[in-house]
Order: sequence, then structure tokens, then C-alpha cells
Amino acid sequence: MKIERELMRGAGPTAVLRLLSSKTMYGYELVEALSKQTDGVLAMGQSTLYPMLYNLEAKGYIEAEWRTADSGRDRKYYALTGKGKKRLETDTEAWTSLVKAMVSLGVVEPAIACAIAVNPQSGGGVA
Amino acid sequence: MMSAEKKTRRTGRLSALLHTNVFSLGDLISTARGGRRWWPGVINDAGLPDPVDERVRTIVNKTRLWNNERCEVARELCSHSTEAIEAGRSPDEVAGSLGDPNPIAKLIRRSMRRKRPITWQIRAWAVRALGAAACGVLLIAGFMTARFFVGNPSINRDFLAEMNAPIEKLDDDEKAWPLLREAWATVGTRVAVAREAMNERAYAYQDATRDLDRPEDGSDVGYNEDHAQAGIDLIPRLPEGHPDTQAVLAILRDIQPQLALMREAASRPRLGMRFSTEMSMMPDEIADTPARYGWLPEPLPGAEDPTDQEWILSVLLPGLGPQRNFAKWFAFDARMKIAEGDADGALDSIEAMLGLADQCAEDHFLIGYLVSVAIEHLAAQAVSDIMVEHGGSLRDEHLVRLAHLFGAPRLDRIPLEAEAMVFEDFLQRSFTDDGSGDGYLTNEGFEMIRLMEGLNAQITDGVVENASVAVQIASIGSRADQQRMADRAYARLRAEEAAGYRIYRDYPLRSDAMTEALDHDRYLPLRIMLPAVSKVLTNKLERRARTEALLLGIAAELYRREIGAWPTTASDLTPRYIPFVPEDPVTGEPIAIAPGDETILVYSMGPDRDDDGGRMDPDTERDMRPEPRDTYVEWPGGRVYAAPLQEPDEDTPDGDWVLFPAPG
Repeated sequence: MKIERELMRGAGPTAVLRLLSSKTMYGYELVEALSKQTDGVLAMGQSTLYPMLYNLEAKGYIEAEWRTADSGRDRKYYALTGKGKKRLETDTEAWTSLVKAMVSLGVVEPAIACAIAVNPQSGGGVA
Repeated sequence: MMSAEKKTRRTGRLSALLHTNVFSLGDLISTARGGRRWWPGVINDAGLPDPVDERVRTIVNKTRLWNNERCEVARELCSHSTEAIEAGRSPDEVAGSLGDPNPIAKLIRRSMRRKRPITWQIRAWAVRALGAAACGVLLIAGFMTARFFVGNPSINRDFLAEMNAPIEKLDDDEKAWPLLREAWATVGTRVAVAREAMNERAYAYQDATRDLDRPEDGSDVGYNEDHAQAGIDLIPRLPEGHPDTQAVLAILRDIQPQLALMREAASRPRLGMRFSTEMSMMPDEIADTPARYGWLPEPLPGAEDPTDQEWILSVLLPGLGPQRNFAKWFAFDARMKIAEGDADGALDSIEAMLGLADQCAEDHFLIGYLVSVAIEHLAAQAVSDIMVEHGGSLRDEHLVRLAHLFGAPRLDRIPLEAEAMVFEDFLQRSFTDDGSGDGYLTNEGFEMIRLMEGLNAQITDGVVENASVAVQIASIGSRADQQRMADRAYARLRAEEAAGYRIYRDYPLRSDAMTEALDHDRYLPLRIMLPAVSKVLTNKLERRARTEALLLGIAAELYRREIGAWPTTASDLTPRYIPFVPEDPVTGEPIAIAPGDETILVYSMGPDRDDDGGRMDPDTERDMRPEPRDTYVEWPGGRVYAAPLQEPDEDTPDGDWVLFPAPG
């Protein structure tokens, strides 16, 4: 399913920061990872991704570097900065609280909440 | 795919240079040397299928970023698209994932600009702020301009009627004006004709003596400055032997019936002149040829055609000129009568002068008050001269009568009521009225200001031709602003008036925020309209000093007649001859006296604050008044005490301020 634009605006940057927290990634790789790991829920095209990446870069949460892959192709790799890590922690806490609140209202199933409680970094097993 | 020719054209170095970040010297040099490519070349090199190529090209083009930024974006989009195609996506699918070029270009542009250097960010915000400010100014200017031309004043109060109401209630025999008008019609004509003849004589004298040597020490006896003037202009102190003396005396004889009429007029309780802007209120003989007879008051600003305007500013005060002129004739008459031994007749003329002085002040116009003070001073001067020259002709009862005349209570409060009404009338004719006393300047109001101020500005057919005028109009404060500041000015004048003689010595030095405020265009209407009272306060104080000195001089003469010697100090005269000892205006101590040749001298210590025995400054032979113009800074509608009287030093003139007998 596709989520609402406003929700995407809030969730997209956090999702990108989360993906970059494990390793550096280039644009196409990010698009693919977002699509696969979220079952297409947070899938985004270039039109959404690159403005978002440039914004995160302008705010100092990520940094970029052009590298030449083994295939000889130039790729721009993005990596999380220290500032970005802090931002990710803050966002994760906020999203955890939000999900808990939704559970208490019955919007989110309790099983998902349990998964979040066991491993908040896992994103409640969504990944 | 695009043709090679087209692609080549788009990769020109000049184009790249034109689209390079001008804030980065490195980028500029690199691009100029061909080290940086123009962005279409980056897309060309990617060799993307047509749909994707076109979409990337369109997006990057629409970002309108610097060339190096576009290269960066193009490179990344191309890389992404290539990866997607190699992963098996169709060109149309990849092109579709790029979305609508316009919004994505806008988003990319916005986010890339956030990455620009801080100097660029500051400049961008500054430009935005300036643009917003300029728009704001234009909007405000447009609004104010529209308001200025659309607004209309509304005249709600008929101040002229209010001022005339108490006059309408007077009985005819209470009014001096009808008698003054009748006397003026004859005397005005008689004097005008005589002055023309005397002026011809004076011009002939000036021509005849033009080439005479006139040394500064006055040793040349071939020239007499008084003779170069019309004798009629030298009354009441017409010097002996003046060539016009006989002609002046002839006029004095001729106008005795009119002087008798004026004595009666002066004895009436009120002037009773109805305020009007119409010339018809004047005697026909004068009104028909006003310029010829010289007694017509100067036209007031904006009153070139008084019949068109019924506002108070255009009100004519035609009585003041003849009142002052009749006062001069009375002073001259008193001198002539005492010389003939007619002390009672002389005192009748002095009494008439004081009656005229009272009537001048009753209208509460500042100019009337000033004329009143001037007439009273003329009367005191005449008495002083009489006591010096013909003291023996005055019996004790004459001296007592004079003391009672000059000691009688007289309007002493500086009148501002009429001035305040004039200003309020001006406001209601120049500003709009929001019903709560506020409003803004109208086109008509500014036109009035322009006429009065003589502004070098033009408003023609409702079009402001001069930008500075627009700024000036925008600067002018609201109606409430003008009224508030006017009230402050009046209150301030009252405070200064209450300070009395203290302004000569210890009135506190203060900075003057009001003067600075009035200099601002915000209060331009007030600055123009406030009465010029720069001399009023000192005139009032000098009037008090000279009147008290005259009373002291009369008391000393009575003392001498009874005791056989002059008093040693002023306190010798209290309480039998005078109820109190006047104060020295400069020192605050009891006023000083010294025996003179014919009368006693009454004098203030003057600016040097030491006792010179009543001697005037030997260098200038002038009496040492505290020179208000040296101690005050004038401001429109009031005065500022830039400094109290300075402590005496070597530059302070050495002499006393002689109050009695009145100096020439």
C-alpha cells in the first residue's frame, strides 16, 4: 500500500537515516532497499528521494562522496554523520512513542508493539 | 537521442561560464579553463534512452541552478537511471519514476540552494527582505496617496461665531470700536496726506546731505539723522527743532476732536469689534485705498482674498494699527499739554493710552497683547519724560493719580485662547475628522500649508509631481499628533510664564526635546501655525520691571516732596509711599535706587550683577537689559532657555539696566 503524502514526509527521512545507519548507500540502492524492506510501503521514486537527500545533506545529517564501483560506474554514496545519528535516535524515540500511542488506541496491533518493545531499532519487525 | 550537433552547441564554454557559481573563484577559474563542463554534456555522456534523457534534461534545466550544481544533479540522476535500466526497468518506467519535471525541479532547486555557502544565504535573505520592505513601502505609499486625495475635511465648529457671540451681547455704548472707526477715518486720511509731504521733504534732505562727510564720532553738524525722517514717524518723541515740527503740531491741533472721541472710546469697557474677514468693516476711506494709508494690518497668510475665507486665521484685527497710532498721538499730546501747563489734560491722554492698552488685550490674540504692552510702555515712557522735563508741573494729586493708573490691575496673563482656536480651526479645515479628534492630512490641508510655508513643491491637478513632497506629506503626523504637541507647547509657555524673573537667573538649563520635535516634518503644520511668541515672555517681564520702577519713581518724588530729600534705599518708601519694594529682575534682591538730576534713578544691576550706580554701559551707552536674544534660543511658538543668564566674566558689558526714568 502507498501511504499518505504527509505521513511520507515525516517517515521518509527517518527511514533513509535508518538505512544509512548500517552502511553507506547510493541513491538507486536506497530506493531498492526502501521498497523491499517496507514491502513497498515506503517506496519512493527519484523525484522524492533526491530532494530529500539534498535536504538531509544541507542539514548536515548525511554526507555524500562520489566513488567508482568495481563495474567502473560512478556512484554517489551517502553516509550518516554524527549529527544524523543523534537525529535518528530522536526520531526513533518519537516513532516508538507514536506507535505505542496507536497501540493503546487499537490502531496498531499489540503484537507489533511487543516487537518494538523487544527491539526498538528493528522498527517493530517491519524490516 | 539528441543530435550530436545540438549537444555540441549546448556544451559551449561560454554558456558554462555564464551559469557558474560566481561566489566560488575556484569554480569560475575551473570553468573558464574548460575543467568544468556544462551540464548537458554530463547527460550526453550518460547515453540514456530518449524518454529518460529528455526527462532528466528537462528536470535539470528547470532547476535553474548554477552549472556545477546542475552537473551534480544530472550526474546523479543519470547514474540512478542507468542502474534502473540495467536492472531491467523499461525506459518509460524509469522516466515515470522521475515524476513531473516541474515539481521535482522545484524541490531539487530548493534543497540544493540550502546547500549553498552561508554568504549566498545571507545575500538571498537580504534581497528577500529588501524586496519585502520595498513592497511594503509601495503598498503603504499607495494607501496613503489614495487616502490623501480621497479624504475631505469636515468643518464642524464655527469659531468665528463663537468668538463673536459675547460681542453681539454688548450694548452699543459699551463698545469703543464705532468711535475708533469714526476717528480713524478722519485721522488716517489726514496723517497719510501729511506723511507724503514730510517724506518728500525727508527725501530731499537725504539727497542734499548724501555727499556730506559723516564721521563716526558725530562731530559733523551738517547732517542730522532725525531730519532725514518724516517728523510724523518720530512722535511722540519728536526732537526740538525738527523741520516737520510745525506740520506735526498742526495735525495735533486738527485732530483734537478725534482725540476727544478716542478718549471717550478708551473709557468704554470693551473694544467690541466684531471679528470678520471682510474689508467692509473698515472705514470706507481706508478700505478703498488701504495701501495708501498705511494703517492696514499686513495681510495674513492665506488671506489674499479675505472675502473667500471665513476662518479665523484670515480674521482682520484692523483696530490694532490705529490703536497704537492713537496711543502715539496721545503720548505726544500729553507732552505738549504738560509743556503748556495743562497737567490734567496730559494725564487725561495718559489715561486714554492705558484704556487703549486694555482694549487691545481683550481679544486674547497674542498680537493684541503685544500691542497692549507696547502702548503701556509708551505711556510709562511719556510719564517718565514728563517727570524729568516738567516734574514741577505735576501736583501731588497728579502723581497719586498716575500711581493709581499704572498700579491698577491689568490683564497680565499671556493670552493663548484665540491662538488655540485659530489652530483648531486650521486643523478642522486641513485634516479629516474620525469623530474622536483624530484624522489625517488632506490635499486641501497640504495646499494651505504649502501656501503658508512657501514650499518649493508642486501639486497640480491632484498629481504629486515631486517625490520629496510625497515624502513630506507622508511624514506629517495625524491631527491628534498636532493637537497633542500644540497643547504641550501651550503648557510649556505657561510654565515658563510662571517662572517669572527666575528665567533671568536660575531657571534650569534643559535639553529641549520639543524644539527638536518641532523641527521634524511630522509637526510641520504646527510649526507654521504656532504663534511667534519669541518676545512675549521678555516683553511681559520688562513691562513688569518698568511699571514697578515707574511706581517707585513716583513714590520717590512724593517722598522727596514730603521729606525734602531723596530716599536712600527703596525700602525707605514702604509702606507709606509704595506697598512693596520691587525686586531686581536679575539678582532677585530689592531694586536699587540712586539720586539723579531731576528724578531718582531706579535700576537693575544688569548682566554684570554689580552696582554701577545706575550708569549705562559706557561703551555703547545703552541700558543693560539681559539681552534675551543672547540667552534664549527661539523656537516656533515658544522659547527655549538655552542657558540662564551667564555668570559675569570679562566679556560681560559693564553697566546697569536703567528702568526709570525710561531711557530713550
